[in-house]
Amino acid sequence: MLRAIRLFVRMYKFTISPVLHWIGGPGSGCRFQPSCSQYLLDAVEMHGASRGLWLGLKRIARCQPWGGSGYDPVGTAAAPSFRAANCSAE
Amino acid sequence: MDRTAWIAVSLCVIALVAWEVYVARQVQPRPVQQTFLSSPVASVAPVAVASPAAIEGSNPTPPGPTPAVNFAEHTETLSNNDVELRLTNRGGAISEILLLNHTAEIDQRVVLNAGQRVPIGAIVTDPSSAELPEFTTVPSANGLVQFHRTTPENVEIRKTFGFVPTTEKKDNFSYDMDVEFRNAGTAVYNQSPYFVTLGAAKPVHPTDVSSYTNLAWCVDGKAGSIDVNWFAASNGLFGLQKRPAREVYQGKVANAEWAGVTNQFFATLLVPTNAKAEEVWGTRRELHQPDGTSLPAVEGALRMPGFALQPGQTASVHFQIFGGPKLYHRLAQLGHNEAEVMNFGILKLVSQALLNFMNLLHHYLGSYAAAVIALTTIVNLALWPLRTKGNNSMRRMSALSPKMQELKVKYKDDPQRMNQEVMKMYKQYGVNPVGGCLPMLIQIPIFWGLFTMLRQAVELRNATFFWVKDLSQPDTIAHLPIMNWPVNILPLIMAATSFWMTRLTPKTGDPTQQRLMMFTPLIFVFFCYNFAAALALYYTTQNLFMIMQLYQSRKQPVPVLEKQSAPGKKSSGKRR
Repeated sequence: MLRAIRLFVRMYKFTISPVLHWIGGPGSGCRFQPSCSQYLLDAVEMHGASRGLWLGLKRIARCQPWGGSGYDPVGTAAAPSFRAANCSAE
Repeated sequence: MDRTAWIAVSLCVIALVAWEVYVARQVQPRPVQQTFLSSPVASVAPVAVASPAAIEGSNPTPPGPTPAVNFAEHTETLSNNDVELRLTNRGGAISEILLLNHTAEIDQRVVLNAGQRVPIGAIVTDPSSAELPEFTTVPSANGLVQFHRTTPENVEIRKTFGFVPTTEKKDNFSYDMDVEFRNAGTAVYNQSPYFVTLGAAKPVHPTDVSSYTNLAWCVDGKAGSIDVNWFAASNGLFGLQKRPAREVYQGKVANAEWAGVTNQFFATLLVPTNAKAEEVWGTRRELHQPDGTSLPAVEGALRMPGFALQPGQTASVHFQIFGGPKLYHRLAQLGHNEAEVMNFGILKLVSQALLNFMNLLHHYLGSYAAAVIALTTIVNLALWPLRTKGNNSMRRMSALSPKMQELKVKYKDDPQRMNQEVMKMYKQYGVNPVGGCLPMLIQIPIFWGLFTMLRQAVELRNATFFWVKDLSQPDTIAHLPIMNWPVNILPLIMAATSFWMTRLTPKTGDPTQQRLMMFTPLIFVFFCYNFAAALALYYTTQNLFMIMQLYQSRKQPVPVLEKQSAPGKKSSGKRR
């Protein structure tokens, strides 16, 4: 499972992501650092497949004009960084 | 670009060339096989008919030779403004469907089932050998053609063909076929399950991708299909999935709404309206062209249940036949889920909406090229404010990136603190990141829907645009002497505009990402090169829009990196 996720995300980063950036044009892209895909990878490494996936999906859900932005790494408990990123929005 | 980038670019180019070679190999005419020779309909060849083997047997019977014709064939014609039906006494069925308003190559009309072995709507016991008995044409008026035959068992078969009554002025491609069996004998007649032929479909153009030529059926609103490649032997990819050629496809389809044969743009569908189909049957035919090449065609038949007739009793089976272009809005009106033949995939709602919208635009603009450009314009105007905002914040971000790097180094041991500092800095300089991953991911279905829609929209056939003769085909203007490589202008323009755009884009983010951005146009050309020109037209227009926008944001003063004191005075350089 972990391996499949890792493979998928890496494939995404090198194939689908550039296409999306190109279609979306300039100004599209991740609002966070590290990017959502990297975040998902980190989260899966730190918290395991299911929890990591969930954290990654929550991060993607936050990555929109009304969400947060900036530096937002995977927290060890995942909660503090989430709050920090959210409060500082705009 | 650095060395790694060049290596990556070269690898992409090599992959592109390799792919083209692979595709060219696939499309290349296969060696002529001796299994079957399609002969003109009227040939009177005294070929020995293969013994009709049992269909229900475990071993499917191989496709037999052309059925013997030992009587004079003559045809009747039925026509409306869109179509001319050629009806033959050979099996009492539709031999060809001439589409009056659709041209194929070299100004020829598109003819469905042209030069095929079996007609559409013939009743046979074995579709492999397809023995077609002689029917008598009964003179009848009121736009109907009737065929009549009495079998050796003294059963009278009467087949009546006509147009389905309609109120629409154009694009009427539905025909009625009424089959009546009357037991004129004195004994009980048992009709075993029988097949109704669907005719055959072949690619419109020799260059068409063969996987569009399908045998299709629909059960409870869910379409299924197999394409011509299902039958072919496969060497597999690197030796995987190697399998021998398959002769016949037979699939149980309880209560199928329709079954038919289709290519990229046209379809022949058979709808049993008062009986339930049991099984769909199909085989592949190689149609030999005058120039020595061959086209893969798929031939089909639908098995109907048998019945028993008391002396004097009559059974009537009614079929509705659709034979024409796959115009989504017309198919959707027919009422037996015929529109499912469109094969839009999982995002069919998006594709259907986009197709309807494109047709609406065409209604007002009168040209499909203009409609595609208008569609792009509307989508891009909707995205304009978001993109302008994005462009501006990108420029600010890229101006801030040295400071960002400083902060990263300064607080690398305290991410929490760094986060706050970065946020503080963004606020100070009035940078407000827009966009994000979620909006980008939401765009995927829209573009995928567009992609699937444009590749099989029959509306785009023969729609012209400057040098483009047909928006549904690649706009090949010439072939390079090396490997006969086609020169397609629009995808090349598309690639050029993408490179231009990437150069204009302010640099933010990590270098790997930037480098990948340079390759994306290449990857896209790779996808779109032999695709419908409409798709390349769409992306070229979109690129031009984005370039315009980038220049517009460039004209504005370079973002001043000033700390803003008053929060109300934010984004000073963001005049529009």
